[in-house]
Amino acid sequence: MIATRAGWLEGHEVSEVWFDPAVLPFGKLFEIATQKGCARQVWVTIDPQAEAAPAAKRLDAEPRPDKEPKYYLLQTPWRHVPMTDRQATVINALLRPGGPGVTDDAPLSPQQRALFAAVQARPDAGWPIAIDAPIEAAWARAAACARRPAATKK
Amino acid sequence: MLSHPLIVEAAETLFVPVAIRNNTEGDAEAKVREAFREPAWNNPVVRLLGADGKDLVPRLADEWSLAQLADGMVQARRQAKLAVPPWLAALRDEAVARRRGLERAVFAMA
Repeated sequence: MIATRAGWLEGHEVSEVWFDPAVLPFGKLFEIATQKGCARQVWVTIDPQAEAAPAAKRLDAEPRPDKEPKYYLLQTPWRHVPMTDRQATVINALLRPGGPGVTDDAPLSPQQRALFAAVQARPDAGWPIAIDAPIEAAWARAAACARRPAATKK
Repeated sequence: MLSHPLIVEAAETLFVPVAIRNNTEGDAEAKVREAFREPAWNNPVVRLLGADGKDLVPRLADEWSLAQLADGMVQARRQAKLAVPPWLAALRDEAVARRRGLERAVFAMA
């Protein structure tokens, strides 16, 4: 799984999923989703997917994106740390209720963890939200914020 | 690709980055370039070397993509028998998958 996005489609709360078919073929993804009860309705985008899931619909309209993408990530200071799509998807899953949280082996770099520590140390520094932002631009904004001197208390 | 912040971090912390200009003559940079048999005024190349100065992976010269460089970094670390941190492996997997082409589908739980 490379990226996910929560949204709404035909009255359903849905997850859009982008995946690497060379690693996880759609048939296998569909099988796993069905086992986990995550495939009450499926919309496919190409013919081979339709062959693997005959009851699926063809995706004819774009889902309406959720107003709070990466919901669990959004609830924590990690929302300020620039990530790739895959990182954000993994970290959001780790932060789900009952999940393990951000573990030492989570795929985050030392500089991303250092930025998280900086956010925690100065939570009121006006850190921009990095969710769904291109990582290069988000990184530049976060770095600029980190360089700003802390406000002195009067 | 060299502006991607995780590539920059990997280059700075998992390798010893050295930039050699390829448009000089008769100076120290030209000597390095000549030692590696790189032509002057050529397109940029990336070489990932071991401590002995030998290439760990084939010279990266034809694609200049995030996938190629991240994959090269992972392969170079493995070739040198050095650990590949999960964040670099994840970056490589994502970049390679995007280059190969992603599929998209939509799932509803309820």
